[in-house]
This record gives sequence, structure tokens and C-alpha cells, in this order.
Amino acid sequence: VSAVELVIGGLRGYRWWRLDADGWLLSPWRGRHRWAPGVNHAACLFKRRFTKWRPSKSPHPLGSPSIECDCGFYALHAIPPPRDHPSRFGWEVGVHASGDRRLGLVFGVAAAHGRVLVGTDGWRAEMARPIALLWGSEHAMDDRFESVQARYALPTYRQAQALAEEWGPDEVERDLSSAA
Amino acid sequence: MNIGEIVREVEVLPDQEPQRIPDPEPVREEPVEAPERV
Repeated sequence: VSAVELVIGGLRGYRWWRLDADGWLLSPWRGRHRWAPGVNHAACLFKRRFTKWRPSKSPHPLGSPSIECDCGFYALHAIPPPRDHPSRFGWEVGVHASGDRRLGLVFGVAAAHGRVLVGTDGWRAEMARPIALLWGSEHAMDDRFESVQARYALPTYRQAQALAEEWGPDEVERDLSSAA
Repeated sequence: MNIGEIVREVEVLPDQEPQRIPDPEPVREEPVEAPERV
């Protein structure tokens, strides 16, 4: 990783959230961070075997994200392709499942600010905010949709392609993700 | 999620909203009193 570069604007990326019963977007797999409608600040979390995720008692010198750790808000440069085999990880579920009541997951776009580690396939960021959602066309825009809209008032799309065209990462993220 | 190999570290500054410069107060012209005639 070379010296820190300055980027004006915001990096965008695709990610999943878990939607709770009250319309809050949560980080789905680690820590269940509840996303505020505006800017969210990452913290390095740790977990012992039987405890919940909680902030680390010895934070990284530069804060989260750290290169030596897995912390920070995550997002991907591209929409994960549909899989024709059972997914090994939760995030490998196809984006058509966004808004599925049984899964409780919602796909969308987040924007990163502050210190960001850019990878070949995505980024980890110090700060992030949700900016657009996908609600799969086969899933009803029911009370859960109304709840999340009341909380966040985000532009929401029924087709992944429309979401990507309007809000997806562009050449800025592509240029940054190429090898330095 | 797997973000692949980390290739860069960047500092992202949000775009500043252009600050609206308020319209200047309209200049109030005081009526000029005619000098009194002596």
C-alpha cells in the first residue's frame, strides 16, 4: 500500500444490511451495528466465544479500519454475481433476495468517507452512510418497506441494474481498485 | 465480505455544499433634504 491519497467526493460500494422489525438497517454479520441515516463511524469490535461483539479495549493507533485487522464498514465494487451453487457465506446470496421477508436482508449502496482501505474487490471505511436500496421486484413493498423508508427515506429500486446505473460505483472506484 | 487484496489507502473528503452567499441588503436611500433657504 502506497502513501495515503486524497479523494474528493465519496466512494460508493454495494453491501447488505439486515432489516429489523423497527425499520433499522443493521450490519448483518458482525456486531449488528445499527446504521444511522447519516454518517456512521466504524469501531473495531471483538468477540469472545460466548459474548456479544463489543468495541475493542485496545483500538488501533489510526482507528478503524486497520490493515492488520478486518474492521471497518465493508462494501464491494460490483454486484455479486448470481450463484448456481449453495452459498458458503451469507453475503453470497443473490441480490434478487433483497427484501425477502424470510431472509430479512436488504441490498444497497453505501458511500464511504474518511480513511478508506481500497481493495481489488471492495473497500473498508472509517465512515459510511446508506444512500440507496434494492427491493427485489418479486418481494412485496409491505410494512417493512414502509418502516425503512420512514427511517431513511432512501431512493429504492426494484431492479439491480437500475440501482447500479443511478448509484453504483463508477470509474473513480475502478481506478482506485487497480493495483497501485 | 471479501474486499480482495488491499491496494490503496485513501482519505475521502465529502464534497462541500456550495455556500450560498446571501443577497446584499438593498441599499436604502435616505431622502436628501433640500438645504434650507436662508
